[in-house]
This record gives sequence, C-alpha cells and structure tokens, in this order.
Amino acid sequence: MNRFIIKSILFFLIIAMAIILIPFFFKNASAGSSDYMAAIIDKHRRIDIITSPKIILGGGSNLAFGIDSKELEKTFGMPVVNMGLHAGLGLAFILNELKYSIKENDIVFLSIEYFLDNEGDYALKKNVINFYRPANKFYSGNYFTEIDIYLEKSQKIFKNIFSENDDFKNTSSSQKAEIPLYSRQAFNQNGDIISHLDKPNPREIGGRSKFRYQYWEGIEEINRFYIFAKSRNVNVFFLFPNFPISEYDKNEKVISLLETDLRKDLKVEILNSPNSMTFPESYFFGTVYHLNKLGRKIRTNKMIEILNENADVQRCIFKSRSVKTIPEL
Amino acid sequence: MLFNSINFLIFLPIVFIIYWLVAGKGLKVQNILLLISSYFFYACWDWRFLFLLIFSTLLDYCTGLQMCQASNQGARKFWFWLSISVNLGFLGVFKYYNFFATSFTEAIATLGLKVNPWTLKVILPVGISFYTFHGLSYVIDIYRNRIKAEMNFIDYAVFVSFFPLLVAGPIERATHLLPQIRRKRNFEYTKAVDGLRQILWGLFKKIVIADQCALYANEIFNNSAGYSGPTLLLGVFFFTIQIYGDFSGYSDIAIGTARLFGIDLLRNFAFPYFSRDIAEFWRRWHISLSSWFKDYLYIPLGGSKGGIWMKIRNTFIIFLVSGFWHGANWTFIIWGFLNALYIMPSIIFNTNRNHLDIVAHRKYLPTFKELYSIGITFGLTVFAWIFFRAENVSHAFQYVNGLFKHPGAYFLLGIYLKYINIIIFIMIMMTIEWFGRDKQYAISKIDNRYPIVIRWALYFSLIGVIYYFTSTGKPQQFIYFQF
Repeated sequence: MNRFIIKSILFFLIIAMAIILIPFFFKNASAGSSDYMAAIIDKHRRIDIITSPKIILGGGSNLAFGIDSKELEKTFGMPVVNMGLHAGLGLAFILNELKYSIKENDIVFLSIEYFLDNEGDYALKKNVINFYRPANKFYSGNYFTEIDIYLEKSQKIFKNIFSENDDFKNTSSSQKAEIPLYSRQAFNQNGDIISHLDKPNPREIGGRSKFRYQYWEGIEEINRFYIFAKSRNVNVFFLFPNFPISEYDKNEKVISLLETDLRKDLKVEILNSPNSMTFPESYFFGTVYHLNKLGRKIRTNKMIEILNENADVQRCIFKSRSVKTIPEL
Repeated sequence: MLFNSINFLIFLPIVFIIYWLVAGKGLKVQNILLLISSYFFYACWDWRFLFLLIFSTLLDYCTGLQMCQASNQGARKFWFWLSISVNLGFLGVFKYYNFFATSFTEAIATLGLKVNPWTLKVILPVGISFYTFHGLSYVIDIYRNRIKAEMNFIDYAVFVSFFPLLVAGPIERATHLLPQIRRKRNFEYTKAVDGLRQILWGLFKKIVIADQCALYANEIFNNSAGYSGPTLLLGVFFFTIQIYGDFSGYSDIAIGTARLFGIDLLRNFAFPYFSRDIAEFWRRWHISLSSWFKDYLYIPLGGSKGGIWMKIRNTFIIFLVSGFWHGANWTFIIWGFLNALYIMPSIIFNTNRNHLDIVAHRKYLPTFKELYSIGITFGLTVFAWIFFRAENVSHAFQYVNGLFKHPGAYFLLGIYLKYINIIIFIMIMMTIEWFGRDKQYAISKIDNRYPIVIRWALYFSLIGVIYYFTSTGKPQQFIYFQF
C-alpha cells in the first residue's frame, strides 16, 4: 500500500508540476491588450461615459458582427452602445454585465444566441477578467472553478507549443497579417465590429449545429434581469438573433418550441419571430451568427423597421428622449 | 460527475485513500463508505433521482427477502411480478412513455383520426436502464433459485449502486459481484496499478479518439444533406470509432476504477472490431448486456432448443429488444433488426460458434482470409451504425442515399487527407489494440517486464496526448449515459 501511494504521489506530482509550471515557462499566445476580448475595456468605457438615456444592445457576437449602431443612433436620436462580445461568456455573465451598467431610462435590446448556455466558458471569462478586472463581478466563481481555469490556461499554452493558436480557425494567416479581424482594434467606437466589412467571406460557415429541444434555462435568467431592470426604470425588449435560413429550416421544430416557451414564460416583450431574422448563407461571415457587410446592413434595417413598428418601443424611446438628461458627476 | 471531469479527478483519490487507510480495516466500514460515495457520485448528476435509485434498491431488496421467506409458490410469484412490473414500469415511464404516446398518435393519424398526445417533459434519470437491469437480474436469479436473497441491505445497495458501474455498466450479476462485496477486500499492489493503467487507456480512447471523432461525425451527420458520398462514409466511419472509443473507454475506466477498490467487474468489450463474423462481434461488444439478454430473455424464451424456427424467432426478439433498450426511437429498433439479419446465416447454418478463439492468435498479422472476414464484418457494423446515429428513420435513409451521391468523389484523395490527423490517431489506437488483443485491455502488456523508465515514459506520453485533447470547458458526455 505504502509503495503504491508513494509511487502514485511521485507520478502525479510530476504531472502536476508540469501542468503548474507550463504557464511560467511558455508565453500565453492569446494574452495582450490587442486581444479580441480586451474590447470589453472600450465597451465599458463608452457605457460609463455616455449619460443616460441610451440604447444598450446585449447579447453575444451576433450583435458585434451584425449591427450598425451608428445607423440606429441616427434613426432614433439616442446614443447606442453595442455590448455584444462573445456568446461563450454565457448568458449569466452577459446579463450581470448589463446589471452593473444600466442606468435609469436606458433601453436594453437583448438579442441572445439560441439556447445560449447560462454558465459559459470559464477560461474565456477568466481571460476577460485579465483585461478588465471589474468583470469578476459578472460571474460567480469558486475555488474549484479557479483551479479549472488555471488548468485550462495551462492546457491552452501546452497546445500552443505544438500547434498554432486555433481559437479562430476561420481567420486565415494572410488575413491576420493584413488586418486583425478578431482583435480589439476590429471594433468601432460604438462597439460594432467593422474590420471584416470589406473582407471576402470565409469559405465555410462554422458553428452549425442541430439543436435538441430542452426547456431553456435562460428564460428564468432573463426574467430575473427584467425584474432588476424594471426596478431601475430601465425598459428591456427581446429580439431573436440572426440565423441562416438553411440552419433555421434544419432546426425549425426545436426553435418553434423554444419560441412557444419564450412567448409563454418570458416577462420581456418579444419584438420579432425567429424566421423574421433569417437570411441566406451568403449574408454570413464565418459563423452562423456573424453577418457580413450586406447582411449587417439588412439586419440593421430590419431591426429599425421592427422597432419603428412597435408601439411600446416607440413609447419608450419617446419617453427616454424627452427625459431631461443631467450629466453625471 | 463525469469520469473525464476534474471533479472525478478529485473525488476518486479522496475515496480511495479513505477506503484503504481508514475503512480498510473492516468489511462493514468499507461497504458503508462505498455506498455513501456511490450515492454522492449519483447525486452529483441530479440529487432528485437519488430517491428513485434508493426506492428501486429497497424494492428489490425487500421483494428478494419476501420471495425467500414465502411459504408457497403463489406468494413467491406475487413478489416476483411485483418487482418486475414496478421496475419495468419505472423504465417505461421515464424512458418510453413519450415514444409510445407519439407512436400511438401517429398510428391513429394514419387512420384519419386526430388524438392529442399527452407527452410529458420527462428527464431520463441517468443510469436507469443499467441499475434496473441489475435489480431485475437479482430478482430473477432468486426466483429461479440460483441465489439466495441478500440479507444485508448495505451489501445489496452497494451491488446496485457501486459508483464505477452505476451510470453505464457493465451490467453486473449478483452471482459475480455480491460475493466480492461480502468479502473483505485487501489491497493488492498489482491490481491497483493495473486498474490505473486501464483507466489511462480508457481516457485515451474517450478523449483522444472518441471526442475527436465526435467532432467530425456530428458535423457530417448534422449536415448530411450537404456532403458527398465519401464524406458521408467517413462520417459513419468516425461514428463507428467514436462509439467504440466512447463506450469501451468508459468501460475501461469503470473496470479500472473498480479494481482500485479491489473489485473485479465483468468484461464489457473484447476488441469487437477484429471480429470475423457478426456472432463473434456480439460476443465481444457490450458483453455484459448481450449475456444479460441471453440469460434472461433468450434462454427463457426457449433459446435454441426448439428447432431452427424458434432459434430464429428468439434471435430476432433479443436483437429488437436490445435495440429498443438503447432508446425510444425507431432507429434503434432498425439497428437491432439489421443485426438480427446479419447474424441469421450463422444461426441457420449453425456457424455462430465458429470463432471462439482470438483472431490470428500468437501471430503478428492476420491471414488474408481473416482480414477479409474482419473487413466484411466491420463493413456490416458500420452500415448498421448509420441507423443508430441518425436522428430519425428518414434521416438514416437520406444518409444511406447520400452515400451513392457523386461516386466519382470516392477516388479523390483530398477528401480523406482533410481528416488525416484523426485518421492517424485512429490507426495508432487500432494498432495498439491489435497487439494487445489477447489481453483484457490493449496496454495491459506494459507491466513489470519493462523497466520503470520505459513504462513511465509511455504513461507520460499518453497523458500528454490526453491533456492536449482534453476539451476546455465542460467535459464531453459519454454516449451511453443517455441510455
């Protein structure tokens, strides 16, 4: 028994030491202020500076890659902040981030990727925290998740030793050299990604999946956010995200079940139907949620049309615009 | 708590140390500890279903006792059927209710009538098919006077819920596992080391092979309409390897873990893809389930005693039930039916026990004839997996049709080169398995005959590859957990 324990300890100690020491000896390829996730710094800088009322867009990268916020600003005469960054952060993170950022009379439009996982990817969240410390308030971590995150970081570096960073496989090396497509510099002042607008579409569209129906736990999460927002006198609306027609057709049954659940249980007003935001594949850029220049333009116009047609949205915008803004100290 | 999760990596050494250092002194304490840790392990999935597990355990324990104490055959029969119907009732509600309701509605609709199916939002309790089968075998064995009822509840509860086998088997028999639970276990160095080695090989098959194959298989199956024949063929090939790596990997981890606690579980896989005919394949694939069906269904139905027609009928029954056991979907039933068809020639010509030995035993390579037989058997199983993996029957047929789309593309090397990395890993795994096919698991040969430096270098290399491929974020589920 003793022999087994001593040998096992020695064996696992060697492995543990290797895993622990990897980050000390090898540089993390994804670190650095030009990292895509570092854009969170600029988004928060903007949302903190701009006085309310303002329009806030909340969701994952479908917003970052799919909205022309300047066009919305022009149409509605209100400042727009696009907080969309990465769906991998998880719904809880995205909503908590908004909770800390919204102020009275703001209007929030949520456009959440289908069946977005509540918890998200811890390593991604940890990465964000490395760039923007206050983000640690946006998720509930514990001792085990901290270990988990460290292990993931170590593993990522280990992988990078043997291969190129494959985080964003859709970006070819030549594109990377020209302009950093997935970087902090790719965003404009409003928080929209613009670096890809004049680029040719990548050959393949990633992120295709066949959904399996299950009651989406995100409904409860959004309802909790709604109650919080209401107490701060912030209006919240929900929009289904953009999606390729082919993918929608494949998942129509499951999406319609999700829509039924949302219409039944979601406290937030839903402004569109899922198929109203479906577009041909030629409008997409690299993944099923990212739009190219044409797709982004059409989606923005569609969104404007939906918002203009909705009396509640119009009322909110009118009310918010008529509020006499007091500059914050 | 998944075997490939960090939580299990923490859970296992803690239980191991307490088990041998604290509880190792007495059998009772050992079993209580195993039971508590098994219930904790199960509660990590969904604590609500722990009550179902405890209820099912109590039911079979009590009915077993009642059967033994019954004064007449009528009372024995009553307790027997009570246990069988409640056990199957739970399985029916949790696993099959929605399937029957929907199928019934669809059948009625073909007659022009409309019925609203009352479907439930039922979550399938993890491992229900496995622990129900444990309980059933125990009750049936008592009823047939093969065993006496277990008097000690703790021992019986450990038999049902021993954590390495709780969620996906191997499906144990009371005759095999209970005597081990009743006996005090003493630590055996070689057994523990062997257990760790088997866990390592299981993790390799799961994380490096199955999870990587899953990426491609899922992509190709989910978008099958857009792919040409050769890619679809690769898709089902990847699934064939995925399901083997996933389930045999899981079984290796389960068996290895049990060995750390001094318990030997039934073997579940014996290199099935090297089989020379379908009968041999089914003696080597999910052995604990196949033998369960043989003992508790095939033989009670008359087995092969009643002539050729009865043999054929019984074979079809066990394969259809086996398909249905895997899930409430017509695709599984067709998969079972196909396998029954495949095995028919050997049943009719009585050649089903032709290959009881190990292929090319004590030789490096198989003969051409053996290779040909292996190829044909493998091809047939690959075809059947299409039905197992497809979302529904029409998807399966569409997939099969797709295999004949653009036949010229089968000669385009580029299509295969796209997947060369994973194909290389599959070849490495299959080569290791080939050279270890006369053992319980492929790398069990790496024992004390080799110097420690070589052994540890091999282990560290395997761990390095596993670490490289371990998915960041949530660990990948095992396929058989859904059954």
